[in-house]
Amino acid sequence: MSDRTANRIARILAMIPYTVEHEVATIDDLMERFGYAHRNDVVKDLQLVFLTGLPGYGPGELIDVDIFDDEVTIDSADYFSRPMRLTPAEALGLLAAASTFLASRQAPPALASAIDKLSAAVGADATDAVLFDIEAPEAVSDLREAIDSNRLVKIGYVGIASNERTERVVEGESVFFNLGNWYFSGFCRRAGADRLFRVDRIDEVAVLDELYEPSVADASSIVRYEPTPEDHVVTFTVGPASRWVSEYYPGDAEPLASGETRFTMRVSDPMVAARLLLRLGSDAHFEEGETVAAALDDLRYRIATRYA
Amino acid sequence: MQRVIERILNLLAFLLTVGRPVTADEIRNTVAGYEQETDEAFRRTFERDKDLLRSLGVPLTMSAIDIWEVEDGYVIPPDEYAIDDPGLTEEERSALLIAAQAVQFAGQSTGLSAIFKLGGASPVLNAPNVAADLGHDLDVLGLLFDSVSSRRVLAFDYSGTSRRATPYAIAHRLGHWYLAAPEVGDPETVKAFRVDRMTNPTLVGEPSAFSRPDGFDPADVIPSGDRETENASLAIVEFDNEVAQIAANQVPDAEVVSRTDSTTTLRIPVRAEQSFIGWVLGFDDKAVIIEPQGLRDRLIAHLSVVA
Repeated sequence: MSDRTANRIARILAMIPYTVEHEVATIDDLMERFGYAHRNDVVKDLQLVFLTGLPGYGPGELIDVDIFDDEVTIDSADYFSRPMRLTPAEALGLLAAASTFLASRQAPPALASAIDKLSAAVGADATDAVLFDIEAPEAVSDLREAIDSNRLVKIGYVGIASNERTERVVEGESVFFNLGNWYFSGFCRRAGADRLFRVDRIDEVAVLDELYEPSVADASSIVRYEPTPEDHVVTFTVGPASRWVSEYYPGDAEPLASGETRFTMRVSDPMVAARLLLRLGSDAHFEEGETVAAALDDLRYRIATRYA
Repeated sequence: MQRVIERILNLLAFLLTVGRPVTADEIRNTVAGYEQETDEAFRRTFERDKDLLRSLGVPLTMSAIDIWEVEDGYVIPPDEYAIDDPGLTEEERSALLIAAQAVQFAGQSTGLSAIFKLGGASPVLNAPNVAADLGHDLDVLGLLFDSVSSRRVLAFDYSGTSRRATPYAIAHRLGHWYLAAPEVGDPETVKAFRVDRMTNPTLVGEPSAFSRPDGFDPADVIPSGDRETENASLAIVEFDNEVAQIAANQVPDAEVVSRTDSTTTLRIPVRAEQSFIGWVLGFDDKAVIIEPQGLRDRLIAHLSVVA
């Protein structure tokens, strides 16, 4: 049976209690509230309900749906008058989404009380057992404000690959959380291109007075590495304690008989791989990759100089 | 599709009102829509209908139809079918709708079925686009949440071993989902299992199979990186001013020891030495551990490893 059938039934079983509770609902309200694309779809679903009910299936047993002008009333459906319980996935999904959004400093005030009520309704006992630890840095509220008011924002940013600080004026597009980090995306006027900034590497935020024309494209929240032919390739082996590297970074992992893992990773900047190898220390053994080896030498030399 | 929907609504209405377990035969003879000619055709249709109801969250269960317990019938207890009205205001429903649209799980939104069940909400203009991705498949997380909330034992594979555990809590921290659970047979040791390393999770046995100790707090079990200062030693690190502010941002309990025109020296709690050294190395030659000497030496050791 198709998902479409299931979705349609789910929507009908949500629409009935709402209409019963409110005594009268308008077609427009039902359409908007339950996400119907056309008025006619609402009417079709209501006409279906009219043909169902309890055994006997005579006038006394069928659900009574009355559509008069724009107004809908439903009677003789007491058994459908309470909304269906949420599935565990629905309950967790909604609670997690709401708690995350609350932590993002972008939420309307009513969300906090909504979470309390929802927690109680799905069983407070269960929600004691749920922890969402996603605190947004303070800068997020300023960045959000700049995006909402279409005002340019000036940020101080320490690049991930370069570790160098630059100041940039950005036309903000979105602020979001992904893979454990908060990100800010937008059109960077200094680079003349779209850029993604990690919020914990922004050390200054100033919302400017100047406005910009927001881009119409949908902002994506997915932080994904896209390989290109210009990538630098490096191969190294890691011991069991550092096997997480092959899960965390994109690349090819090959388990070796020794218990080690051989890992081939691609990076756009050799310094990123060099820094990783340096951090892994004696648990990683470099095998191949000239540009990364050169970057690693350079990095070692520079740091050693500071400790000399 | 229309006839399918009618039949399923009829089935649900019947089971919610009949007040006793009923056999498949009785359903076939009573509920409109089951006029299939052969037993086989009826059986197939009825199986699909049951699956669909269960996928929507309808608690369709079996129970003995008489005291002799010879035959089982189908039941939907009305109180388990329905949710207690949470009493949400219109504003609160809208807020939930915005959150549901702004937060995704591995690129998928939570879907609107939960919002519909709570009475729906009118779409909001100027809602922020995607604000967060919690990075894991909601089907699996829902199963784990089910195990936590119904207190059923969970079987799964982890690090190459089959395990059975009694989950106390599910948590999202530092970008990862965790399940806090002791393994069956060792209730004293509550472990934190990474959900992304878990395979074949399955619920086994009956609900209410265990209870969570009073006062259990998942925050005590789930790894928190370097954020906790308990048992922490202190390190003094000198940063170039270029990166000093972001270093301080990343460690909220860092204290400024001194400042010059070019450097800022911070006192920082160290909880896990290896990850602390990795973090300092992340600043390249723009950060230097001044104290303690032992930690400084361990960082220097990373520089001399023969590649």
